[in-house]
Amino acid sequence: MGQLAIKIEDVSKEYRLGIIGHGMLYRDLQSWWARVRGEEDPNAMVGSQQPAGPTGNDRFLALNDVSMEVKQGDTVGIIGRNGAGKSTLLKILSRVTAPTRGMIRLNGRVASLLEVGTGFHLELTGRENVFLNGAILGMNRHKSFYNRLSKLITK
Amino acid sequence: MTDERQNWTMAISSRRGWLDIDLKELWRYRDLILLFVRRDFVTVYKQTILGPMWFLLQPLFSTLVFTVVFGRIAKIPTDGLPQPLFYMSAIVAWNYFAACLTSTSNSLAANAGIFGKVYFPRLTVPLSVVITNLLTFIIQFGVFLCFLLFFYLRGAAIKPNAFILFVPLLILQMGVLGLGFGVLVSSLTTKYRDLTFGVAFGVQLWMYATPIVYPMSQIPERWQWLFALNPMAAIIEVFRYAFLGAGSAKPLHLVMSLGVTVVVLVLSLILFRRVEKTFMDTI
Repeated sequence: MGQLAIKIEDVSKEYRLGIIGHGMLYRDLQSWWARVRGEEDPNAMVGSQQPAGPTGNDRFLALNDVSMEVKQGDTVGIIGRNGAGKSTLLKILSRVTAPTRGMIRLNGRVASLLEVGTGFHLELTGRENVFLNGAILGMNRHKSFYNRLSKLITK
Repeated sequence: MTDERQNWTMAISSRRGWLDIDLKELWRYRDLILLFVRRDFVTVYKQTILGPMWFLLQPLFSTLVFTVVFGRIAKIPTDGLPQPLFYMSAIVAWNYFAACLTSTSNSLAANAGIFGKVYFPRLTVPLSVVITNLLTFIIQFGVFLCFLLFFYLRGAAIKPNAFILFVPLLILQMGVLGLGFGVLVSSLTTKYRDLTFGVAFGVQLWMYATPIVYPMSQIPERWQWLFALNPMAAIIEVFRYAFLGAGSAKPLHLVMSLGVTVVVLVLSLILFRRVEKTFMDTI
């Protein structure tokens, strides 16, 4: 039996729909002041009656109690319709964003497959870009990295 | 299943502590910090004609303008010190702090592209920014030392003294302060973009609240405590005193400044920890 590489336990991710904040401090303060005085939120969408709050149904569960295990050596694909939460799960696995509830344990290293050009800098040389991207993925510039690089790059 | 005896290398959860900065992890990513520094330092003046000359020109011209405007026209006293040295000492130090603050403050929003793709300790970016600015500071500080030597040899009334030993500490404190305020702002700008505009403007105003174009001795005694609340005031006064030997730096002011620095740093790290895990959802 292979060891587990990934164990996902009851992971949920909740997003708030609609306006997260108004993106501007004074509007948030305005809404807050209106709520304090019990008046209608001047920034609320026209026609929306219920106040936005923890109990309102303006929340969306992208992931709802997801649990799964991946063994070492497994190749796993995640299939689903648009909006099923595939990317959200992967984002949480790669620690780009944190889950709202639940726990994930990993054994090993996560290497997100980056799009070509992510974190690429035209002002730097190719070699410098390789090191930068390697370091972003958590590789140290120790010998094995150098050795492998010089094997890959034939001058 | 064997999982209870298994040792996991990483755990992801929603729980977050107040101040659990993972220093070990940051240390493992030291190469990344150095590469960011290299990237920022190399790319700043690409596609400019004067290139690295800008490092030198900037404090020189500021000093020139300050000397003409505040020294010659407004005739603000300088504690009896040569005007160019009086201004340049403060400009060089202030620039370091201001650069740390402004460039840290938009570091989260500016790097959202990479942050959205891959995980690495988010604190590496602000830290590398402070180190990059330290390099710039060292160059500009060298210019200042040249001026200092020139005036000293010509017999100007300046008395460099033992307070110079404190200068590395002052530089560290400015870096920490700039980092603290910058991180505070950048944590808030993930939600409120207003602050980006506020920062450039705020730093400009802040400069006039700091004894840069005037000496602390010009402030009436009973208002000095108010000025000392500004952590940069004491730093600039002591910095200037160390090299030029005139000024009214009080130990109490420096202690207050240190206190403010620590409070700002702790607050900013707490806020940063709260924001860093989920800011990609709101940015």
